[in-house]
Amino acid sequence: MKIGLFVTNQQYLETDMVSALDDQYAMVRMARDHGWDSLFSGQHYLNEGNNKQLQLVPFLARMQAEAGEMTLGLGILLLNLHNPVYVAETVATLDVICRGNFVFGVGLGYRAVEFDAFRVPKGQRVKRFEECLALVQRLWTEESVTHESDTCILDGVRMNIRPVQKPRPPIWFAANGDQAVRRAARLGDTWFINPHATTGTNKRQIAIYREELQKHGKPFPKELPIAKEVFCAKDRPTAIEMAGPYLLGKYKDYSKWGQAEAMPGDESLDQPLESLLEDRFVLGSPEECFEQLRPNWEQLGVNHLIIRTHWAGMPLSHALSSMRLISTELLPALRKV
Amino acid sequence: MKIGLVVNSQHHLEKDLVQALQEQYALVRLARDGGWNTVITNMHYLNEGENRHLQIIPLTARLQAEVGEMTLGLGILLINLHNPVYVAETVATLDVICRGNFIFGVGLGYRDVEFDAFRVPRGQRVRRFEECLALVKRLWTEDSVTYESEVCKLDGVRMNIRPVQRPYPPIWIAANHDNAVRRAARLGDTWYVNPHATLQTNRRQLDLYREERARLGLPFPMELPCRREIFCGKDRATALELAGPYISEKYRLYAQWGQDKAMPSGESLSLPFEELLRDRFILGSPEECYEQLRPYWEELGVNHFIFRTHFLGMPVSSAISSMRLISEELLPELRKL
Repeated sequence: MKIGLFVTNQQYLETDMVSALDDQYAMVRMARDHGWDSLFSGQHYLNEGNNKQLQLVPFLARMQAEAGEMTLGLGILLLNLHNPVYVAETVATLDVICRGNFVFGVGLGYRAVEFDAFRVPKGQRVKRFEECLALVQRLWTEESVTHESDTCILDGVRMNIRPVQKPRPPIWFAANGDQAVRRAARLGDTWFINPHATTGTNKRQIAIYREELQKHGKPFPKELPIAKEVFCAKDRPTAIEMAGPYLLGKYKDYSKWGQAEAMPGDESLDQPLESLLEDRFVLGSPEECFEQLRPNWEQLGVNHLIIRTHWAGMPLSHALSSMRLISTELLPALRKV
Repeated sequence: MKIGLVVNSQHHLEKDLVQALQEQYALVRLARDGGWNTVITNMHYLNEGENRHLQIIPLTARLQAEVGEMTLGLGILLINLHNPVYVAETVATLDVICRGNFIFGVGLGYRDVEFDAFRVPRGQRVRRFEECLALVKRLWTEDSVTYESEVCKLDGVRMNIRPVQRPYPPIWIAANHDNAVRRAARLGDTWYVNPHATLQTNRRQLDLYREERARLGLPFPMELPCRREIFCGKDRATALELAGPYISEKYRLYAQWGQDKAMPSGESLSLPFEELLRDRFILGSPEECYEQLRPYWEELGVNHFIFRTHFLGMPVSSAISSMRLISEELLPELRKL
C-alpha cells in the first residue's frame, strides 16, 4: 500500500497566507521524512464563503522543492477551464520539475461560478473536457497537429516541450457520478476515487468501473488510488473533537458549492457530522483507523491511499499530531497490506 | 543601481530538460550568493525551430525555493492569452509564494501561432490586454465584481485570494513599439525597457514615455528597469567568442518569430551580427561593460539592470564565468551609482 498526503491548501479569510504556506511546507517535510510516497493538492477558482486557496500549478511546483523523492500530483486540474496548449505545456513543465515523478490528475468540475468565469457554456463541459484531454495527448506525441475548435486553432504545429515520462505521465481521473466513472474507465489510466462517497457507493461504482474497462478491452489498472478524510488521535472521541469542526466545515462548503450535484442519485453532503462520518470518514486511534480503512483494500482493491488530515481553519499542531500518529503507527501496518 | 538575472528557460531539443533546470538553479544560486537583487523569467508557447521553453508559472514558483531574498518577477506574462480570473489568482499565488517580494511583468506578445492557439482574434489583442489588466486589478481590490465579456462572466464575485503586496505587486510593462510605450506609461507602474532596441531608440522612446506620463499627470516611476544582453569576459574578443554565436542565434530566432514586427517602423533584427551588436549588446571586460552601460543611467535614468548572460545553447560554464566577473568586478562598481 502506498500512502500519500493530500494538502487541502484552503484557508479561512483571516488567515495569513504566507504563514499558512509555511505550515504546509512543514506538513510536506514531515511526510517526506517519514517515508510517505506521494503529495497531491486540488484546484478551485473563486472560492466562496470563508475560504481562499492558492492556485494549484504554482503551489505544486513550489512544493516540489520540499517533497524529496515523493511523487507529486495534480489532484485535480480542472481541464475544461483551460486552453489545451496551456495544459499540455504547463503539465509537461511540471513533469520536468518533478523529474518524471508526477501524476496528471484531471476532473470535470461542478461549479457554475467557475464555468461562467471561464466562459464554458452549459452543455459543453463534457465535450470541452474530452476534447482538451485528447488534444493534450496529441500535442505530447505527434509531430504535426492541426486542430480547430472554439478554444484553439493549430495549423501543423509541433509542440517541442514534452513530458519526461513517455509517452506521458499517468492520467488519474476524479469521478463522482456514474457517468463520470464510466468516462474514467474509457479515457484515464486509473480512477482516482473521491473522498465524498460512502464505501457502499464506492463498492457499487467500482463494479461499474470494472464493467466499463472490460467493455473497452482495458485491463484493471495496476494502481487504484483513493482520497480519504483521515484523522488519527489517541482515541475516537479525541479525533472527533480535534477534527470534527473543520471536517464538517469542509463538507458544509462542498454542499453549498454544489459538489453533491456531481454525485450519484440523491446522495447529499448536507448532513450532520454523525451521519456523514458513517462509512465515509476515518477517525480514531491508529488501530481504529486501520479497521475503518480495511474495506478499501479488501473490497475495492485500493493500493494507494491519499490521506487528507488538515482542513481549512485547523491549527497546524492538530494536523502534525495526526500525521505523526499516522507515520509511526498506521503507516507501518498499512505497508504490510 | 539594482542588478537582476534573466533565467534562460529556452533550450535546444537535444538538451535534457531535467539537467537544464538543475543548471538554471545553479545560476540562480550563484546570483543569490553574489548579491544580485532580482531574478526574472520569461515565456512563450509553441516554440518554433529547434528549441523549447519551460512554462513560466510553474518555473517561477519552483525557482522561489532557490532565490533567497532576491525579488522574483515575471518578465513577462502574455496576459491577453489568458483568462483574467486565471491571471489574478495565479499571480496572487506567486506573490504569496514570494512573500510579497515579486514583480508582475506583462506584455502584449507578437506571435500569430500563440494568438491562434488561444483564439485571440486579430484586432482584439490590445483590447483583450487592456481589459484583462483592468479586470485583474478590480478582482484584487473590489469586494464585488460584475463583468461580462467574451472571455469572462462574473456576477457579484469577490476574489478571496489576493496578493500580499497592497493593492498589488508592481506592474512592469514590456513595450517595443511607440504605441506600446505610451500604453506602458498609461497602464503600468513602470516601463520594462526592452533589450532589442538600440540606445538611440531607447532614448527617443523614453522621451515619449516621459511625455505621456506628464500628459496623464503621472510621476516618473521611482524604478526604471532595463533588460540588456550582456557577456563579461576577460576582454572584448573573448566575450565575443564565447557569447557571439548564441546571441546571434537568439536574434535570428527573434527575426524569424517576428519580434521586429512589434518594433518601431523600419527597425529590423535581421542584421549581420556586427551591426546588431552596435549600441545594443554589452560585451567585453567588466570595465568595457561598465562604459557601454554608462549611457543607460546617465542619459536614460535606468536604476535596475536586468541582465541576460545565458543564452539558448550556451554551455552553462560560459554563463557562470560571465556571472562571476559581473558579481566580482562589475556589480561593486554599479553599486556605487
